[in-house]
Amino acid sequence: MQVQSGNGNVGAVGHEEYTSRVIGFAPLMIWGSGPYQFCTFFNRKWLRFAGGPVMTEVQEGWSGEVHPDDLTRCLRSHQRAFIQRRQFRVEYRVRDLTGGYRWILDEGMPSFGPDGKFAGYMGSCVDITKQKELEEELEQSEDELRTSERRYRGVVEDQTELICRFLPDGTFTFVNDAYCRYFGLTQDELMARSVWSQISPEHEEKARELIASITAENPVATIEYHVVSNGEIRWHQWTDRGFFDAAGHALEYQAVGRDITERKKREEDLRESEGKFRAIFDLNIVPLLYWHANGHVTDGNDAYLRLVGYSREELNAGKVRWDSMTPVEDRHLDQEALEELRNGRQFVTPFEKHYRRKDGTLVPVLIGAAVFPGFQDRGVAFAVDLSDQKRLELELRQEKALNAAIIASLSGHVAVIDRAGRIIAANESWVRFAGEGAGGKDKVDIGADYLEVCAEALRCGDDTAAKAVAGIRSVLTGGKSEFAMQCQCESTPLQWFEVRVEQLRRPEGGAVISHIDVTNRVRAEMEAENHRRELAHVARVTLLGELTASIAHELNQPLTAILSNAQAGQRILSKKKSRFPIVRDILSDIADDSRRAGEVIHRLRSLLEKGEPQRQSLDVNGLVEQTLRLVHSEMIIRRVAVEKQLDTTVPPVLGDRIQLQQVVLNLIVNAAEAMAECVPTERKVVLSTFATDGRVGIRVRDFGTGLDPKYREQIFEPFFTTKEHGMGVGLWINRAIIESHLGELLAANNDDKGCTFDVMLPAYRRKRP
Amino acid sequence: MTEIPIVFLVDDDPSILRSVGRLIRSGGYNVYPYSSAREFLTQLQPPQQPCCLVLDLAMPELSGIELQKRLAETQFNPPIIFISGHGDVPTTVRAMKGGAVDFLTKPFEDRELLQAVRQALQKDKLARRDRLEQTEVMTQLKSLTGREGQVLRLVVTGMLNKQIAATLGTCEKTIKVHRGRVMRKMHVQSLAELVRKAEKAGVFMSSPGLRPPAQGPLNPRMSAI
Repeated sequence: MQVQSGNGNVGAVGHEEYTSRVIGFAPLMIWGSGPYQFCTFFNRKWLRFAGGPVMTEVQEGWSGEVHPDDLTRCLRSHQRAFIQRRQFRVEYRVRDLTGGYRWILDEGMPSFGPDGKFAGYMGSCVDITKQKELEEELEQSEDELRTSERRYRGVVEDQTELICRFLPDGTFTFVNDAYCRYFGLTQDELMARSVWSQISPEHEEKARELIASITAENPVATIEYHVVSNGEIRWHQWTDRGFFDAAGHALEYQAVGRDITERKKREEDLRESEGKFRAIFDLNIVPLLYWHANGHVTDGNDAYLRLVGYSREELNAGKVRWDSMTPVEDRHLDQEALEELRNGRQFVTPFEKHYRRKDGTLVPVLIGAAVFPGFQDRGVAFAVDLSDQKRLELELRQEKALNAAIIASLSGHVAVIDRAGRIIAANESWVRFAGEGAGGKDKVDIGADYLEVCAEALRCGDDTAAKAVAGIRSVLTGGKSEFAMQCQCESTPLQWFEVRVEQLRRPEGGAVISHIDVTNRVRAEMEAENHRRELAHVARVTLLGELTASIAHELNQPLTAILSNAQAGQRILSKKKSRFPIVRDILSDIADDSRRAGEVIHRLRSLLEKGEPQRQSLDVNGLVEQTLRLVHSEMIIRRVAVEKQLDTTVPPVLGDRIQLQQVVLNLIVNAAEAMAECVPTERKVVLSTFATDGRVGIRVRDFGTGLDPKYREQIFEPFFTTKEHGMGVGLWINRAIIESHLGELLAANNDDKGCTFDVMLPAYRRKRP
Repeated sequence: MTEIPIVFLVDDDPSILRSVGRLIRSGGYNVYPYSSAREFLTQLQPPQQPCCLVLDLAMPELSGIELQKRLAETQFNPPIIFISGHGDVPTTVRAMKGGAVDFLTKPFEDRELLQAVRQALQKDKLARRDRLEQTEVMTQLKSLTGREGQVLRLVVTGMLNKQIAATLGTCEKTIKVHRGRVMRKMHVQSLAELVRKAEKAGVFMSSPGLRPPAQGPLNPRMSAI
């Protein structure tokens, strides 16, 4: 309006004064010039803008205030317009009265007098600084836009984020490399598809709804859904932006997305753990609390309240304080825990302390605390009631003490080993006893490998150790549930131990080994065995004795008659000269044979006499010598050589001299008889004595025909004989005698010739006073 | 022939009886065999000549030991030789204590048996002589008067005539007369002989105050004093 009034009245004549007044006060800067290019007029606005006096402006011209950069262009356009008397329009900078340049738009129009004669120019100047600045800004921002677009493309193409553009119908217009890579399809392949095909079917509807919700007013929307990538369902987050035309119709959509499966999983895990925590909190099994370093319990579950004996109202009222509930002597524990947390730790090592409940009783608790992430002074904690545990611990301690006392009180030696054979428990008497045998307490104390100890004993030649090791192993491996053996200990006096190995009834396996001194029992058993043997012997001997007594009696009578008759005959014949001297010889033979028969019977009967055997300490070498003297002449008659190999160091035996002599005599005579068929130079009996393994042996070896293997078992049976005229009782009686001496009579064929009989008798050790 | 000693043989085994009988006979003795102790007891006629008994220890019904015991209860107890199949110590001890001469284990040597028989017969011979002597002394004692018997009893204690006189309340001279009669009646020459005879007859007293046993070999008249 102002410009309009200024411009509209420029050529008005007659209203010159009014016009010049209007012009002079118009808000536009208005200027005028004469036909000679000099400005002749500037209105007040102009002058106020330029700040110079009217005269200066008019005389020196306005050109001096123009920005040097713009001056040439400004003057040239002015001059060209002057020459051609044309309208001109030029923008330039002019210094204002503050000294700063401002952009002005200068427009000039030639004016003509009524005669059509050129009269000069009238023009106006508009301050367009603001506009210019805006334009520059715009240009700059356009530059930036171009740069950013370049960048954008680069960014988009190099993006790990998935970017695509698509039309409202879902057709792709653009997909970035990441998108292609992600879905494993080429750009062309994707271009042939729709955006919906990449979304899992159950989320497609949801995605379509989202796109539909995007409007010009709300052009951006974010969604999370499943996509199918390489047959795998993954979680994605997509931010879709719509582009709309002026009418608000959607033109295109741009979508930026990323795979959030991992995040989702973490979120789910977190939710789950949060849920779990909450569940645990609400489950009220473990007393849980939220704590603050200032001593407050800000929340606690029912279990916690039950533990400390406060009500929820009291909790909500802030009356439950963990610091005041802690007895003075335990408070340093809390402080140490807080210190730990202040030092940046997330958790405190669980520690035991006490709470004083509301009712004043003390309860032992196990405290474990954690801080909230980012905090040092608050967090969650659990407080487990240890009363039961403490009670159980006490009971356990008492039970352990009881068990230990039981083991210690056992008179036997007891050790417990684990599956590997390592000793895990042993009583005092075990350590004391086994230490003596194994050469050091540490070898049999807790931690020692018992199997190794046994194995070492085995290497030292202890045969019982082999049996023990095998037994222990069989129990450890579950082959047997228990194992027992007796062993004799090389001590004075002799001791017997029963070793028992029993499976330790627990999942980890192991075994309990006990050594019990069973010397008294074994002695009693041995005595009982002795007694039994003696009884058996007596029974046998009684039977034999009765039989033999009657046989002997029956034989003795005719023998007596025979001898008496023969001798009577001899006496009668000796009185007168006989016609048959041979009768005298016959009678002599008869007498001799009946004498011999009588001798045999007599010997048999004296042997079977039911008298008490006379047990005494006997030197077996002496026994052999005495017996040899008895059979000396018989051996000469039989032409049998006797060789002695006597070990003079053998210990004595306990026995009945007569009975043992009888045995040896019988064996020697048997040996001699066995060689009756041999040529005299080969007839030899070797008598030897020896000591072995606590026993003393007397060996009678012949070089005869040996024992027929098919009779090996029978030779000791009564009335078994291979001799034509034998009674078959000799060896039987021998065995009975030797067994009554707790010994053994063994027979074996020699490798070369003949056989060997061994009389094995226990060595006799005098009891030391 | 009556002087040939007799050996009684008791054994339940007939062959023993025969053979051992022969053996003993070969030693020059008469043998009277019996197959059981009972038979022996019932048929026994105590002989005049020396005799002995060869006795089997183990016999059915009545054993040798029992027979020995029975005989000990009678006036006839000849020396016994036991023969046994198998003698145990206690039986042997009993037999020997019962007066057995020997104990032989069957079978035995002829020498052993005949020696034992010889010993037994010798023992029996001596016993018979003793018995004869005793009978003689008894007869002589019976011939003494009561006073003479009193004097005898005191004389054998070694008292002097003077002491005897004092004891009996008479004079020494009377005693001397009595003493001379006693010596004559008893057919003795010395005091020692008298003492021996008196001892045999059981007259010997340790102290003059003691009476002889009621039943003894002494003269009943003497006992009545």
